[in-house]
Amino acid sequence: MADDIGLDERLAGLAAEGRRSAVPLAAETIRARGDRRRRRRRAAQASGGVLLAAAVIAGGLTLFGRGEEKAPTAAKPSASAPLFVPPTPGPGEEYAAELGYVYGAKAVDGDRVRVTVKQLEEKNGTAVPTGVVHQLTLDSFTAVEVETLTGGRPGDARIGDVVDLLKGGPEWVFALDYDAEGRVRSLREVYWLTVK
Amino acid sequence: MDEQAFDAFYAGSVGRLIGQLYAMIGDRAEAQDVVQEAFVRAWERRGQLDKDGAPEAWVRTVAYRLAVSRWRRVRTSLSFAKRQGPPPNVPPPADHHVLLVEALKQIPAAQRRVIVLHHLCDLEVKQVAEETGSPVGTVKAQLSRGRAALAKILADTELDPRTGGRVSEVERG
Repeated sequence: MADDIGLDERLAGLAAEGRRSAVPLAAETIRARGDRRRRRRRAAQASGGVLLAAAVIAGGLTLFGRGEEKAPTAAKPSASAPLFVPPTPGPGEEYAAELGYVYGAKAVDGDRVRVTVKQLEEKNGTAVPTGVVHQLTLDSFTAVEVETLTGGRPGDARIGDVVDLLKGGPEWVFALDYDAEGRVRSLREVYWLTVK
Repeated sequence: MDEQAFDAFYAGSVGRLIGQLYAMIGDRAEAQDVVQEAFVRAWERRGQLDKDGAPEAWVRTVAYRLAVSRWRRVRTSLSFAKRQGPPPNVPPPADHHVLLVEALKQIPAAQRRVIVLHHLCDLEVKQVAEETGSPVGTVKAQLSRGRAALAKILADTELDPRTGGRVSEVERG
């Protein structure tokens, strides 16, 4: 198929044009920006450490001040509803993804959409449920990449536009992109995955 | 990686990576932006880069992630780069490249990425799977679907070999 449309050749031509039109910055400038980022990161880590130390001291003082007061009993985690923790982006990444069925969509408060997520885990090209089910309330403008959900043509939508299509039971699998603050910034339909 | 080694790495690969990212995301200014930003992060984390042993793949992956992040952030508004317009003295893209970019944009981003990695970057399917973090079977399916979709989209255009419009520009990226 690739030979039929000369894909290698055409992509090479396209890339060559991109390369020719590029006017990249000097390496020194790139290094200088990298050094600035590094300094900022270290400064942030250092100030975070100070805050953490302050929090630990404050916490210690609070505990000390409680004297003989009885500590509250910790809530027992439920085995049937494991606690959901939003994934955290790794170093150098802006988003972390969660895979899952997205269903039970319902518009709330006019500009938000509540959905249920049945979390999945990919193993050798097949997705299996992890047992985690949780709810999310999203801004109705949250971006959604769709394909089979909207009839087979790839496109971009907003979650508010596809509420009716997602209001039923678990059928459509998405990757949900969480930012560093644990907010969902976009959903991408993962239509090629087989779910066990 | 010391300054000299980094500068040599940058000089030797920045153009090639911009070309590859252009094919993946279809925007020349954006491709240059994200590749440069990825190199900034590469220098910032050069210790990790040395350990990985595949710095070009690292930069390409970070650049792609940056591009995807930006799409999501600015999807409904014009990016700064676009507001600025193209840099001066850069000729507009050739018609057949505009056609190819438009065709690539019509297939899902994941398919576009594996097609570029396999057909432009010359990576084996297994290497594509490693770089994208996907199973080999998924990559094969994405390649197959992406190629079929592209062939369909390009049918009866000047890029369809059956119409005799084959372009003979060959320059390896």
